Amino acid sequence: MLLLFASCKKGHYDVTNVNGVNAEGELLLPVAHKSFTMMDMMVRFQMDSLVSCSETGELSYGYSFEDYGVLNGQRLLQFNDLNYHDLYAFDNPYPVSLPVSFDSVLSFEHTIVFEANDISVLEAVMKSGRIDFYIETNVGSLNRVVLRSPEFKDASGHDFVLDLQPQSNSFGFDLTDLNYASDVANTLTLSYELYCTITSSDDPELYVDFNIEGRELAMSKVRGFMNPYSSRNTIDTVVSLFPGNLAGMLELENIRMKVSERNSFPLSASLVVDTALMTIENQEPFSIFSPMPLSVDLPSQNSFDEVYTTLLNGKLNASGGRLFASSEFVVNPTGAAEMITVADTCSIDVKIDLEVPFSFRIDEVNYFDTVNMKLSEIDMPDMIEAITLELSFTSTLPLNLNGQFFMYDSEHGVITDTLINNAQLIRASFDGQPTKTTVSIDITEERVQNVLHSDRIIMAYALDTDAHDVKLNANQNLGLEIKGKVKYNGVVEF
Amino acid sequence: MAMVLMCSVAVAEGQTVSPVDFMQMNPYQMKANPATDLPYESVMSLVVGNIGLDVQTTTLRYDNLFEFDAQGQPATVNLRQFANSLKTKNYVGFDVCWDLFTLYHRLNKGMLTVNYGIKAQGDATFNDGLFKLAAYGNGAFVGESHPADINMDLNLLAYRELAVGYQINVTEQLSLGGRAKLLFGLASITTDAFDARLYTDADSYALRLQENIAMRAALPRVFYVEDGQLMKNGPFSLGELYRNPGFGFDFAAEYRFDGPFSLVAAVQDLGVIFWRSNNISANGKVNDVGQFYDNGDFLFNGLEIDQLQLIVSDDAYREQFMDTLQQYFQINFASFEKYNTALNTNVLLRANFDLNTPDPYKARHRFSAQAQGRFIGSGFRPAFTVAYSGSFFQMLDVCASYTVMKDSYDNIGLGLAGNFGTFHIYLTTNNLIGCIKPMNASGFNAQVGIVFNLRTSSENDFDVNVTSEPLE
Repeated sequence: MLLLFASCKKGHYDVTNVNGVNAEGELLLPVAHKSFTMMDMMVRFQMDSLVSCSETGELSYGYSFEDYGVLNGQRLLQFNDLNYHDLYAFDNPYPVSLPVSFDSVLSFEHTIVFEANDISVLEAVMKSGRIDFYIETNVGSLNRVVLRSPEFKDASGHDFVLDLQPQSNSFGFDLTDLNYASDVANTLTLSYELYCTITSSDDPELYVDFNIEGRELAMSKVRGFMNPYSSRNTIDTVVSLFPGNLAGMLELENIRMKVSERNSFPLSASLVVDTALMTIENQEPFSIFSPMPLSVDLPSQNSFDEVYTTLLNGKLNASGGRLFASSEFVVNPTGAAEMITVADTCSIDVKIDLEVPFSFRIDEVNYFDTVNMKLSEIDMPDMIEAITLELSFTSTLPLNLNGQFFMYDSEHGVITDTLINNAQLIRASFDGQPTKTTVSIDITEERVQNVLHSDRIIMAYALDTDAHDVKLNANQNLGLEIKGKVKYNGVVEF
Repeated sequence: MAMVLMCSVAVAEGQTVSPVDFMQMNPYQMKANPATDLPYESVMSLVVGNIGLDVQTTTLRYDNLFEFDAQGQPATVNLRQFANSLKTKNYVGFDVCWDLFTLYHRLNKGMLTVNYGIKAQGDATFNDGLFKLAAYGNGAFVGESHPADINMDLNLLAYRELAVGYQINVTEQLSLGGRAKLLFGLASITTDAFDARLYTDADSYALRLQENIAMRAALPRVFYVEDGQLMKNGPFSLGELYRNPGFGFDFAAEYRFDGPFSLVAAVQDLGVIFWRSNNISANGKVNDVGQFYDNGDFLFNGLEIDQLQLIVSDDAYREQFMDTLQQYFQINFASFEKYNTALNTNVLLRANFDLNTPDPYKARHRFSAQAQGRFIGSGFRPAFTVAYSGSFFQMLDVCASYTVMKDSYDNIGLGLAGNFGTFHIYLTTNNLIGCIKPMNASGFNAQVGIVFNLRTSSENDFDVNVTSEPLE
């Protein structure tokens, strides 16, 4: 009986062709969430090391510029190479040529002055240097040389004496570690005793020609008098407050600029800034300081100390600006004539610190970012009719943020879809009370395919402060919540 | 009494009732009523005496599950249609019995009964939560007071049964009968809890899932537990057929009033099985895997933005994330020592009205009304049946019945039997519609068998007057 009835309905009960499940419904899903404090954002943008936070959470941006050795003793105590030539000529008392020779000692002395415009050296410790001699003569053969220089003493305090038998007419000596002392600044006396075997000659004139070369002459420490010693410095750099793809103008207020210096010269110095221009794209360059030139005294001191502080206001491009500054540092600008001791380690080091409070007004700053994604391997069921993503922003930031989200197919280089078209994502909170904005993104069936064929989301944001002067605080926060609504209707195939 | 019986119908849900129970010439009517006075001296069957299959469901219908094409063939599963066809509480159960050996023999003043057979019974109740969640999505279950509530109760029991009983007419009015049963459990699955609740926050769409699964099972050693996992490649041995003993009893009393009325009260399958080894527990609660664990619940309130970016851009991370997600819901299996399960005890109260006929040999007619209830794993399931049974010329035995259960009103039963001297053959169903449309009725039921009459006379194969003498 059962078989009879079953056979009548055989096709009705044949489930072999059932190919899927027909379903229609709606899924509600919390997709993602995030809560940032302003400090979290600084960390995210790798700015935390540049930002300082007060106890009340007020944020400021620190920008430091350091220039060590804008003037230094090493350059001061380096001297130009010497090239000295001295010819002694005299009549031959016996201008005949006889097969006669005899030994004799010839004595000479001459004074050398080494060039030093900025300093008069009375005493010094030689750091390096070498003096080489070449003697050309027709008197006879040179057997022995005794050279004395009363200004040089060795490390033990003995007078410097060079006594040698030159293989040729060349010889020299190293000045390293010799001590120099002279009553007449920058002078060096050389006394020679030349032991020669003189042979008769019919030359009517006899001569001894000294060629002296001094090289790499440098002193490590000098006692003497110093003239005004100067150096011109220029800074040509790009100042950027925010890393990343920001564009737009910020009106910055109360930027504190602090100049600190360390002057280890024994004399005071001065800094004169005659040019300090900030150049911003599409804007006229403007001078950072007013009035110009700016003159700053740099007293002698072995540690950094603040020597100048000022408050600045100005516009700055969010992506940064070009700073060009030209200045002159002068040690002993007044030319004080006092005996000093200068070492080659002396220098003038300068630090310029800019403290930029996050207190500004933004007309419009744009930010661009991209997020890579890989959805092409995800098998999105055909039955999905629509996806609605709802983005909720809860903010105490004093910033308006408008955004555009584009789906991008990098392989074909095309924007496949626009998910958000210039919608307000964040509404500024100027009274500290959280604001909430909600944006919906409808991803239709067509859009699902666009999304699947995209591998990048390009996000463009526009920031402004709605004509308010605002301050950023570390405790201001932004909460983001993304939830999704998925409508499905169709067959899930087996 | 009729009023009481009618009232019981109002809570009837699902139950196995067979026309065999009412057929006066069928020896297996003693299954339901061990006190009945069979009109046989001695009957016996082997292997084919009683084979019964019963499937009951309150709401599951084949046609509700599918969408059909123009040719009437099922093409797709229609989840929403199927979910809508379900009620808040749904029942599906089955009962399989197979008597391998039966001997009923008059002995002294009563009848000795011996049965050996196999029984398998199962029942499940479930709500519509899971299917409605799948069909409508969680968008249909939003808010603290409106969760997607999923629950199920599943019980399976299979055992062998050796029953020895005796029936006796105590007086001319009163008959008593009973059976003692030795049982050997084969398998059991018992659900202590199978609940899940999914909350969707109306504002944030945050998903909170509460889960509580607790099951016990006694299974063949093919199944075993290793490191918290259920393995399926263990050895099987014949000894397993005897390792879970149990016992049970059937009792019945039948009282015949002066006149056409008689009353039957019976208790069937009162007993217990002791599951002694290879018992396995399965517990499912949300595991504390980390991010989404919240005080015993699984709470998903969205991904961290960075995490989301990794999921959409990094295949390896996505795979690892999905693996971790599964671990929250991993069911932990463990072995444990012993547990007991009660048999699915059945009680019934039946009233019979025998219509006087001029010649009982040519025709006998009986009208019955029966209230029956069965204690099964998922609860007490009563049913109400009215039945007509008649025998004609001691050769043809017929029965028509109608059973009402909750959400099941189409149980029109029919039984036919032929008595051919040396053997008695029968074929019954308690749901004719189920035979015509087995997949679209509230049940399918069939019971067939051949019983051999060991003592026959040339004149009378079936003697309506063969009864045991009363004790007095």
